[in-house]
Amino acid sequence: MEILHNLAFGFEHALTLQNLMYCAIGCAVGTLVGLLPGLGPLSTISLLLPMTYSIPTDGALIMLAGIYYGAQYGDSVSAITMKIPHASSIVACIDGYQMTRKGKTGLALFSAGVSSFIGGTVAIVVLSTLAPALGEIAFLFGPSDYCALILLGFLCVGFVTTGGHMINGLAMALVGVLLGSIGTDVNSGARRFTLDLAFLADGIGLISIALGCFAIAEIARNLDSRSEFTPFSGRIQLIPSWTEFKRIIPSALRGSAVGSFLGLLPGGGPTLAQFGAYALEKRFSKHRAEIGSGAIEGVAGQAAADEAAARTSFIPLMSIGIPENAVMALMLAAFIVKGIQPGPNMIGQHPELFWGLVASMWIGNCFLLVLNVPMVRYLLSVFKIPYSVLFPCILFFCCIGTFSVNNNLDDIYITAAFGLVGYVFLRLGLEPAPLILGFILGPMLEENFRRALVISRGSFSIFVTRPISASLLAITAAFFVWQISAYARQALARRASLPATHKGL
Amino acid sequence: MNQLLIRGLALVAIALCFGIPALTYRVGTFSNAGPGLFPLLVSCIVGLIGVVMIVRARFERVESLPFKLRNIFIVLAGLVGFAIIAKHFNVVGAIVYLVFVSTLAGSDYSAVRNIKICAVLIAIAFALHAFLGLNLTLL
Amino acid sequence: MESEDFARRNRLGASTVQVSRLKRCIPGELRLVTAAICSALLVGSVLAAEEFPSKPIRFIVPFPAGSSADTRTRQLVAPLTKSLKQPIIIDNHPGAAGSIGTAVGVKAPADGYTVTYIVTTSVAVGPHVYKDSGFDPRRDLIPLIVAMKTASILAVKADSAIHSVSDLISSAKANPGKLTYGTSGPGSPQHLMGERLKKLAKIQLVPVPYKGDAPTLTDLVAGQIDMTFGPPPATLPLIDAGKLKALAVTSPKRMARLPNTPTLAESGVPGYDEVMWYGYAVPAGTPAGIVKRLHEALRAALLTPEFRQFTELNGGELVASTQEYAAELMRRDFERYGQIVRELDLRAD
Repeated sequence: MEILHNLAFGFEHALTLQNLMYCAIGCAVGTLVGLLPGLGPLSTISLLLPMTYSIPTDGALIMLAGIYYGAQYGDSVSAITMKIPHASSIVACIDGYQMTRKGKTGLALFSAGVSSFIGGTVAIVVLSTLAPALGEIAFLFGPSDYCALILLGFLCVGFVTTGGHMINGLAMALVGVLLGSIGTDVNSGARRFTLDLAFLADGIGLISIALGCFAIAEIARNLDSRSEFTPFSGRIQLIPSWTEFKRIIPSALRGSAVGSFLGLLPGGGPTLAQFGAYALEKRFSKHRAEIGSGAIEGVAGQAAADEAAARTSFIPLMSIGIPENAVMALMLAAFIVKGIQPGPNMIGQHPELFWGLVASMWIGNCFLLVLNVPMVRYLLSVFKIPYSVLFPCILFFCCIGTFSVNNNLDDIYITAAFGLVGYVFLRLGLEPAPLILGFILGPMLEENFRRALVISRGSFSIFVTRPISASLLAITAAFFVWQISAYARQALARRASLPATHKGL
Repeated sequence: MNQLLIRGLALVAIALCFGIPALTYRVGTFSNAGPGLFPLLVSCIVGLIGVVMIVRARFERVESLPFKLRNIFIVLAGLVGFAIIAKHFNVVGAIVYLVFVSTLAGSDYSAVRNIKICAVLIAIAFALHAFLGLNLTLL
Repeated sequence: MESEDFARRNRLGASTVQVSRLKRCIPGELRLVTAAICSALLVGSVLAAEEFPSKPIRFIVPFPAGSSADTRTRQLVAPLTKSLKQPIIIDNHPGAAGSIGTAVGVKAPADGYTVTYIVTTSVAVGPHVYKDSGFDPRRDLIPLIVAMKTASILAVKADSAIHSVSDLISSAKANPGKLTYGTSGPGSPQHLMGERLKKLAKIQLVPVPYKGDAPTLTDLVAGQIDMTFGPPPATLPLIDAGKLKALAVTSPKRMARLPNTPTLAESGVPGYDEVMWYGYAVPAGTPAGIVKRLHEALRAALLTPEFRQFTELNGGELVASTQEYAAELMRRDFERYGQIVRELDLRAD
């Protein structure tokens, strides 16, 4: 009952004309910028942060939050239609883009829109009911627990490898781990593989790799095939059939659960949530065979997880005052400039900010649904432009996007290099998605592993004595064994039935 | 060319590129890992997978998709040139360069169309600068 | 006729002919003209210095948007815009603990239109750790002002068995190499503060590196590490909420926000004095008149009541020093940290 009371209090604040306007502006700007290839929520918020200094605090928070989760949706759109990912829509490039190639763009976008709505709603319920308690979760996870969790995450590699053998996916993930180790090693301060170049000192940016491997490589591939593929041609069928619509719901719910949970953990947020949701879909969905070649579930799970994680990542900030990823650090800056010290008592000291935010997230959710689903029709007409006109524009946005992360033009060279690398991998039949997963997880695994050993003074028992770590490792081991035995059984069965196999690796 | 062979070779090459420098960093032991331990370990696994692929390539053969280097290199030249021109001159020049060079990779080339594309992109660049405060020297 | 023909075919030649004729005729006047032109230029340059600034001024912040460096500088935008009557643009160039952005600032033209945010880590420690940073602060930067000094708070978990610095020292002596403290990596302020403590108190502590303050404080509250030297803006809220306990502060004088917390110097580690300072600088070669103007504008902006309030909220000590003090402090800390980095062998290559 108290929750309803709090929500009512929040809605009172969120429904003022001013705050409604800020919410609308935030969602609209966020979606628009997310649509633009290359630009993502982090760059947008940091660019727009100064503007919020002259707006009242609650309005500023509502607007920035709107930009954040609006941009998550916009990113999904550019990933689905043009295979141009941003940090949290990498997985959308897999199934979403496949659906576009099959002409089912409208369906993909609709699924993404509805799943985002569901994901957002679930996350808001979580926020309202569990926020203070959930903030404490971050304290339960020590380095050894993160290690175990990340090892479990590595299992997702298998799921993210769509065509061909698992070993390709594993190899790519490991290459991603190697690429992730470029930069300054946290534990020793040594600079690894940086070739003495200053802009590599902090490692390669995720955006540079993602844009290069997906967007640029895809552009080159399209140019090669000379088919001048236009994302759409013909009618845009937006409204799905009832069966198709029904398929969205379970995936979206699963995605929301994964997203809400992963959003709470430092470091990952929406970036990891999408992989987790995708893996879950591949494992549990009824239509799992289709995933990877353009299934609704692949899109729905990811979109829901994205939105959910974006919202629950506010929890650590507002309930303990610790920002768990770069976007939250920007929100923290916005608070500090206004003279508010986010901290463990923030919800208690500034209830109007917290509950106003939760209420406006709900409003923003509705805005996004209403704004995007019809707007998609107009957006798609942009893609009727012939490819030969479109691709230089995409290249331009990729440059701007990669530049705007660090205001450094040198990052464009990295994007170009990864464009080449991504293209070569594409031609060799090796996939970029596991590479990116390895790139994200590898450094985290190493950092936490070494840190766990420093804290335990070199003793490995820390991994089994801590309950969370022990149970996660057990799950990972069990799963791994199960996968290997299933694979071995399959291989034996295949070999027995088909004498002359044509299968390549 | 056998795709499997190339894949294997590529993986071995990557393993060497990362593994050899990793040896120059302190490796240490598992309980006291140095900066070189993880890269070395992972490079070894990648190298191993690469070798397995090369061996399999002797028994199985997969034809590879054609590599058309022209287009990708044109795109890269466009991107790299954009960065260089934007750094030393201004963004407008960089946009013009990018459009004219990258469209060489398209199927038909039209200077007039390129000029129109440039105009639109320049307008967008100005808008990004004005509304989002993008920090680039435009003119 | 001939000369006209010649002139027509060679316009330049014609004017040369005319000038040389002029030269031959009136050399004395020429000297007068030269003198007049020179003095006009001199007056003009003086006037130009006073007309500074005539276009927007760029402040380079070598840290990401939203970081404390960024927030502090943005606080000054409003008063500076008013006093300098030109827009102030903030340009973030993060990377390599501030080296990248500082290098950009150093290479900018020395005309006063590019001001760089400088902090102990980027100009006094960084150049020793990152040898290829591309600049030498003593040679390439003219510090304009030291804005603020911030001490760190030596904090432990609220329910920790350690209640004071003496407890800490005796615990560390009883269990050498067991107590851990969080840092932001080798060469970071926390690391250097910890090393100083180890040296002065003659104890053994194990540094545990993290990527930034947020994960460090999270693990401290969770009890994964024993202590850390926390920056006030992030640590004070946790102390107020009862999640952390402040054992001491690292400055020579007590912090205004924590009047009951002793300094390390008065808790059994005499002579302990580690504070971080930040300020602003321009590239070497900037004309003295412009330097003075920028210094005065910054000083006035720092002394506004709003900024004072901001400083207090964030547990810092407002300094707003003179130019000479800034230059002296930078030089002194550069040498001091050079020594420490050499002793600790912290070179990142």
